[in-house]
Amino acid sequence: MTFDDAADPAALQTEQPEASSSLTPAASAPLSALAPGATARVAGFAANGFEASLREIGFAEGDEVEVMRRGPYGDVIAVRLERALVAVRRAEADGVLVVSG
Amino acid sequence: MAADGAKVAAAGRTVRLALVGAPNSGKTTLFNGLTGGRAKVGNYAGVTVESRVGRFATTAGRAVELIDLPGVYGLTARSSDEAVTIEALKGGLDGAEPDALIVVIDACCLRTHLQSALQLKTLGRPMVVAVNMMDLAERDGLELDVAAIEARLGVPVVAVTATRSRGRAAFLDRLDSELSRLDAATAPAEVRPLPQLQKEARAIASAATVREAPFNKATRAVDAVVLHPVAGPAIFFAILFVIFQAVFAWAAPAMDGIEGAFGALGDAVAAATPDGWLRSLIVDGAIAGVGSVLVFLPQILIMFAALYALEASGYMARAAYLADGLMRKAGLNGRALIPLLSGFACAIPGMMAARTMSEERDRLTTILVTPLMTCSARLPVYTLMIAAFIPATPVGPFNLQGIVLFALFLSGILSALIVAAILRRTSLAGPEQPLLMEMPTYKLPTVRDLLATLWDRAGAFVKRAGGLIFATSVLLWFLASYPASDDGVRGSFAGMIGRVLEPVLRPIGFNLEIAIALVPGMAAREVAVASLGTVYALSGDDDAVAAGLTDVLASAWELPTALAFLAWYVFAPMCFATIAVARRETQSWKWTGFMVGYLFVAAYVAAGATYWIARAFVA
Repeated sequence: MTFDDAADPAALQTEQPEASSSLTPAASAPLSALAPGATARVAGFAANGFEASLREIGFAEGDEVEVMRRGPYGDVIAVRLERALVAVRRAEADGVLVVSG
Repeated sequence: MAADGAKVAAAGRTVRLALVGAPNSGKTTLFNGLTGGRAKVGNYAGVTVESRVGRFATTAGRAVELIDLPGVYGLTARSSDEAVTIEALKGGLDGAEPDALIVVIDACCLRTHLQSALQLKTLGRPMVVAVNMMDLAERDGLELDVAAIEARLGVPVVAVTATRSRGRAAFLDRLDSELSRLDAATAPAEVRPLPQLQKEARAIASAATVREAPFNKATRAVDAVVLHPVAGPAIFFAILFVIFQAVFAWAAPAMDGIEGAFGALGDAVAAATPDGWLRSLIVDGAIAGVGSVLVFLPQILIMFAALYALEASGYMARAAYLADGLMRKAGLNGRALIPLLSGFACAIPGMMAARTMSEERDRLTTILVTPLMTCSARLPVYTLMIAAFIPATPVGPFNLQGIVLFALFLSGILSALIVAAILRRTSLAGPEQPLLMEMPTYKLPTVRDLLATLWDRAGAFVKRAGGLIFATSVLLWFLASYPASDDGVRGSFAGMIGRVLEPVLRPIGFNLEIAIALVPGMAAREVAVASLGTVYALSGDDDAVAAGLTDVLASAWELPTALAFLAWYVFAPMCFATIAVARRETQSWKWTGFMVGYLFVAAYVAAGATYWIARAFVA
């Protein structure tokens, strides 16, 4: 599970953060839409105001994510971020764009 | 600091090191392991953030002062707590500028935690990175090349297992040689945008990972149940319920022992001293007062031990996740559960834990409702009343006393949620703060950390019993003994004060003794118990202390009065320390006044309603 720039087009765009939200919709989907149990990779961030917080807790382009569970009222999601487990609300999870694989 | 080329660790000087790291990186375990758990809680002038300061010596005998700072993810402050840590790291807080940093990162999460190590490098302070929880990483099958991290990061990197003495010994050896080499004048790394640092962190992690391992299987399996939408909340309530049962069942033998010891002490002193005011002062004032509070030490320790276990095992963050939906209805955030649950032990750490919240209105709401959580100082009041008035009738595997205690805790929680919901929809309406919270890998709490916590708490409680409670007991003894009259307590100064309050308290079922006990009881909740002990010890029968307050109350009070007294204590803000901390944390007399006001009104209404409803049923 090495980090390979060439294999990950999104990672190449990290130098221009504003470009990360301009990915084509077909290529990426919000993390909140990921089915429980499916894994995906972070492709970029939507401009919904959470990017800085999401990055600080550790979300970054190329990281593997998996939706582990949805919470009791469906609004909170337990996400595996690489080897860590993070609780995010749906609105925050909308800020993470993922590609499957 | 010093001229160029000066070393951090000049001979004969105490080196000041600051522990920095993400929450849950095991900072505190490392702190307790290195310092032996002996710490004093320090405060920075002006900003009063809780930071623990301890001392230890390296293998070569170098004296080190270690500061444990609140956890941070990086150098961007999202809460007042983080702001203080960052300010302290930059050296902006006087008197505590660290000579060097020990940056603690979790071996299991190198990719994410290395990015904060990279950020900290921009501070230009000498630092040593401690890769913690190596044992857990190895157990998972993860193999790391620590030298590779060091080579790429450009600062000393040491592997450590904070929970084991062998894991710390190697760290201490390395620390010694690194400290003697660290340059006081370290060039700050260039500040770069976070995405770039993240990329570098991941490159370092990839280079240092010899063997990758899947996500911890045990954590995954346990979380499949614990985070389950139905089973999860059920487990959470079961855990709380078991804690309350434990508080009653397990503490009983120790409490009987303490009660017996104080009774014997009272008898011995009474036999050894001549009848007179001195004997009365010692036996009725000091021993009856302090003894009736100290007897609750075992219960309070069980409460703190349970909360510690929830926090250290990693369960607390899961509970916050589960509670988010419910808390959201109250306009709060799952994160607010942690301050609120801390409030079960004491409102003060609870209010301070609210500092981790980034939205000011969320934080303020949390502070204002934290006193509704049943703190350990209410336990003496609750358990005294329950033991005196509620029979220990078995109800299934539990008993009625435990169930009543649980109900009292629940009413505290429910009122907190209701008040929060009202505040967040009215004067404290505002944006919601993000949840975004790491849920740490499960681990076994360590005995050393547990003992360090309990030692701190027991010390604080005994100090209060010996100081504040001793003083108020003696003062109350004086007020209740003089001027001497045929009427006993009724004719004393305390009786006079009590009689002024009595007309106000009579409608909610309180008697004169309660009115008298409530006045010193303003200082702290458990003082009311001590005061009742003193008042009844003075009101006549000398066997009162020996027999225990429980039996005295059982025969002196009507059930509706006892229930009203319990209801009063669910709400009443009878604790000077809490009010003072609320003022400090809110920086507002207006909000502090509001908090005290609404709590008193709620206490009065609840006690009154309980009294009249209970009377209707009893009669």
